Amino acid sequence: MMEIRPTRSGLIEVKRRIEIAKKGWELLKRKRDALVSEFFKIMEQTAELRRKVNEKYAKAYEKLSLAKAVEGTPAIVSAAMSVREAPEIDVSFKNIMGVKVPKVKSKGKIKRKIWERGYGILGTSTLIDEVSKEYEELLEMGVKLTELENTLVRLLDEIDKNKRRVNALEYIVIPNLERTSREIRFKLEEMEREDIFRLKRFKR
Amino acid sequence: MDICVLGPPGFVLGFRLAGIKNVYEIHSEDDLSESIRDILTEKNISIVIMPGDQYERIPKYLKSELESSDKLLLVLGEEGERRIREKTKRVMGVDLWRKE
Repeated sequence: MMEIRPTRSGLIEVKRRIEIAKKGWELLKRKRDALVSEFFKIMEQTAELRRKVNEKYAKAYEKLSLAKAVEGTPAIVSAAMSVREAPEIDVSFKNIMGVKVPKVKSKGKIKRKIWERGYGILGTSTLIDEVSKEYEELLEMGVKLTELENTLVRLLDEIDKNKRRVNALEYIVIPNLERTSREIRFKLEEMEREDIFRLKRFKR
Repeated sequence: MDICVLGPPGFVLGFRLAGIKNVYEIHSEDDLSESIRDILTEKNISIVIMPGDQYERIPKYLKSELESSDKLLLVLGEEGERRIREKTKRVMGVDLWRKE
């Protein structure tokens, strides 16, 4: 911080800085509260979806293991290679309280009908169809969960940064400025007392 | 924009059936680091899906590069939930994900 001279103009300057710091502190606190409120709005929904995705993942993996045991891995790999179109997504960003958060939308269908997948219906079994269906559903839920969780992560990062700034202002900057203000006032009062004493001496 | 899946062959196979073409099969630790570096430079990839145990094995410096990049990460399994939960606990000071 710039050295403040112990003069009346220096005192005015410090008081001005204290006022700015306090205003900034208030604004940052309000921003922090708004960010936390946004966080809570999304948190419940995310926790619920995360639970469903984890369950779906376990179920899909179980079905895949069964299909591998019954059909053999080469049959599943061959079916996978014949799947035509890859699901595409569109990622844009929206602004929540100055934080850029992702918005994910799938361009085409992730969940497809059997004949839309690309592998021959005759050459594959219902087990493979079921596995495809489970993973497509998992992917669809996963895309939504990605959007929500990454939003939460970005909000948390911003809340963390904001919290540090609020604390820095509250516990370091403002107390330092107030201490400087007190020191300048004491110095000015001391100088005033010295002046009065000198004047009294000259009068005698 | 594409979704990519990263993990052992058993993990990625199901996603291949769902149509994912951008697949990184991991057979060793070197494969993992190299794949993450490739993903970071690939502009077309937006979402990266991986299993929890793979996420835990990513070297720290690459993990922080991945987390701070524009890629959206989805970690499946308990580790995925733990990732968000621990971050919430650290920032908010309390475990908000704890079920009552």
